[in-house]
Amino acid sequence: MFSSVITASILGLDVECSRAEVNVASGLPKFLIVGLADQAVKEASDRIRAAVVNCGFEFPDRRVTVNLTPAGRSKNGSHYDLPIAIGLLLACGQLTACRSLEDTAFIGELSLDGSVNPVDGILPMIIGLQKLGIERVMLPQGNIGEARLLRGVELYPVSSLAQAAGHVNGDSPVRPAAHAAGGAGAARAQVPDFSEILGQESVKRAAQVAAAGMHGMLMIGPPGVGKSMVGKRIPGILPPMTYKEQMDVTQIYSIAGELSPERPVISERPYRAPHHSMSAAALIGGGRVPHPGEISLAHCGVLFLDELPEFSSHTIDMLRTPMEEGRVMINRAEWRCSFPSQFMLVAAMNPCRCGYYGDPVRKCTCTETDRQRYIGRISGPLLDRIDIHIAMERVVYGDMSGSARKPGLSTADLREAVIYASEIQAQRYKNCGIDRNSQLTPALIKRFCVLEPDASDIIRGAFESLSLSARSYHRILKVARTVADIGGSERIRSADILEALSYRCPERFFK
Amino acid sequence: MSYEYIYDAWLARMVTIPCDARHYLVSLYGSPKAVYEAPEADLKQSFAQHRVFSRRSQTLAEILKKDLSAAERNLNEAARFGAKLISYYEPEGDYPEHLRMIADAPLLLFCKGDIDIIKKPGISIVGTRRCSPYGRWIAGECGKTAAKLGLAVISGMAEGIDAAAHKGCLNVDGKTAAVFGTGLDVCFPVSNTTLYGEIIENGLIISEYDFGSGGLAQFFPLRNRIISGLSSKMIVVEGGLKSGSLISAGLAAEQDREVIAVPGNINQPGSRGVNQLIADGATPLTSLDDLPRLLGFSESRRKAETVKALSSDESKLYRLINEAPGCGPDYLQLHSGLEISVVSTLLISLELKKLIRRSGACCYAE
Repeated sequence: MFSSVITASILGLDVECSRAEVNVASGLPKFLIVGLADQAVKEASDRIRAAVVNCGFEFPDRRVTVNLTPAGRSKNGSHYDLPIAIGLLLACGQLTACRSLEDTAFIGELSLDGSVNPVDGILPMIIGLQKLGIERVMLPQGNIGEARLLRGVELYPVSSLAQAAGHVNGDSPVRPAAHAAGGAGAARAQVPDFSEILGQESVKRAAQVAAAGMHGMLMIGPPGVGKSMVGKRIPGILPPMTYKEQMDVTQIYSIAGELSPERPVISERPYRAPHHSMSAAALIGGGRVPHPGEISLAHCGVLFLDELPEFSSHTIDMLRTPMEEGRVMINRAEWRCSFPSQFMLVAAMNPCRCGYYGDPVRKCTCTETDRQRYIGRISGPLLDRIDIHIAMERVVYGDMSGSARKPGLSTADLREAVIYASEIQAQRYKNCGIDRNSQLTPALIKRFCVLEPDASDIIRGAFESLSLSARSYHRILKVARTVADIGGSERIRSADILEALSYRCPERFFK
Repeated sequence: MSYEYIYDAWLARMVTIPCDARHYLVSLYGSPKAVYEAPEADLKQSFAQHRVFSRRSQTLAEILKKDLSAAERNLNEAARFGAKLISYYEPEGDYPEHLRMIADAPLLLFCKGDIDIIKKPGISIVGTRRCSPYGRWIAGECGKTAAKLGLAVISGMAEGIDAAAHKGCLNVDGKTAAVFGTGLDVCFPVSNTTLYGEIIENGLIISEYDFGSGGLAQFFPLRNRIISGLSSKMIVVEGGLKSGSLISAGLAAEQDREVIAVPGNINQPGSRGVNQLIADGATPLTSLDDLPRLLGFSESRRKAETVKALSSDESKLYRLINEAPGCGPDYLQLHSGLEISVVSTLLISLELKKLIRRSGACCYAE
């Protein structure tokens, strides 16, 4: 007796329609799973045997062969349990489908007691299946939070194998789950406010420009000036995510298994601050089974690298291509896959090992060699890809504190202009395939970064007097474009260029 | 009533005696027109009396012919070419005062282009026609630097160094003047046709010779006196021991113009002349960074001028930085009362003007 049930196989974000074919034939009792199954899939046999029995069914004392198609593609994950179990019950005649199952996919992991456990990657799997023409999906109850974001597909959440079987034979059909709008009900994450930072107004302004154009930002300053404080507050000034962005980010978190019933959807821009001991694979993604790295988990959000020179230079140099392309390609001998990685890099570092180089008060104890070695850990090409560099000064008390001081810029002040500028950008780049100024290609720069005559004089003069590299040219124009957008100007004015120039003097620190 | 150039043009063509002798002649009668109208006997007597005119019977004969036709043809050509005339004797004319000072000052110049370029003394850049890539590069850089300092670059539009200097200047939209040894309508050498057009368009061309004149060998050293005469300093980029550039340098020194020589490889024949100039006391150009100072733009003067030209907000910040060296943007914002984005903008502007230097976030006055 033979049955075939539809499920999905997933590699990275690529989903293929897969089938669990079950044949129950006479012979010595045996349970075989074929079709390039990995360890987790092989172990399904024991889980299924227990689950079937514990749900009141009988496990056939015959030769059971399970084939997962396409047989040439390796399978991993535990979500094949449910389709195999349903296929088994159909094949040995304990279950009869009340209607054709050719438009229904089954996804779920079984417990020994027959309950259905949530699995990772449900959102990309259903999106992939939907593209392949599947209209109904049976999935674990625990995954319904993320899945109900989707429209145009009927979702049947089940919490046990018995419930699933009851639905298939029509005895007790499961009610399809209602859909939810993106981000609904999700509480706004607690992001601290910029007004808590004393002084550092120039850094706040730089953060505003960076956020408005999703530019990379590097803060350089002595210890204790609030570099990490600024980094933590940046997600708070980014504009809200669109539905599409939420879907993209949630898919990545789904694969990574970072969703929970409390947070089934990523509706807030991600903020990732990995420790500097992180490995290269953890940063860009990889592993035996493709797993998104920190740069993909920071997609549409902020990747904060504190103490940048402490990261292994091998690791941070891996950022170069993904930063440029907005997507990371992971290649292994058996497979290759890509994850989106359109993140805003925010990095912080000390000017030298002891942290006090250039400090007007405290003496730096580093030798020139120490300093060169510290600075040299960050490669020029990486620096070149960070659009905004900003020096932070030590907060001096006295006239900085007390009543003389106006209240500083708050998150709300900064966010208003960021949202304004990002709306302008969204409007402008509607048909260009990009969303933000940081993604401008040279051709688009030519089209959109129109300089007023005095502005082009300034940039020409600046190249000589600041001895900037020709590579910096485009970066400066992109930042100037953002500054002009914040100011609501169609053309780039001289003040915009000057401000952009002030954010791009790596020579000042890295000489 | 407009000035009648015809008599100047007539006298300017009497090339068998030096300009100085002709100026002397004019001084005897008062004006070129008076010379033309002077009675024959009177002129003969003058020629016999004054030692400057001894053995100049050929010139006398030519003067006595009183033939204005060639001069007239020249003026017609000039009108057709769109050239402007500058005469030594025209009252309130455009004749540059610094050129008037030199020995052998030309009587009449034909010009086309922006005549303001030669109102103030410029910088002349001269050198060999067969220059090395090094010389060409230096000439271009000197042209560029002079242009950026607002000085006009004067040269002769010859191949090699001259052309490179003109181009270096034009590349940064500077002002340049070319003094020809041919007529204005003759582009010599032909290889510089494009440059010729560009100089007419954006600069000035000057010649004292007849329209259509292809130039005689002796004209070229002669026009060098105009090149140095129009400038306050002369840069000699490359030149052998017997080159025209050395003649120019000699003329410049006679005219009391400072000669700056670019040192070269001592093995290269093309450098021997300039190295000799340095040995003879010319100022060596040891670094391009030094050039503005050598051209009279010292750092302190530049700074003083830049400070004077600052906007009121800029000078407010500059003053604050001077009072509190090492202060950062926060301090400046607090004490100037300006928006933080304005402070960043002004700081970079001051930095571009080389008035302040920044180390990290700390600002220091230069």
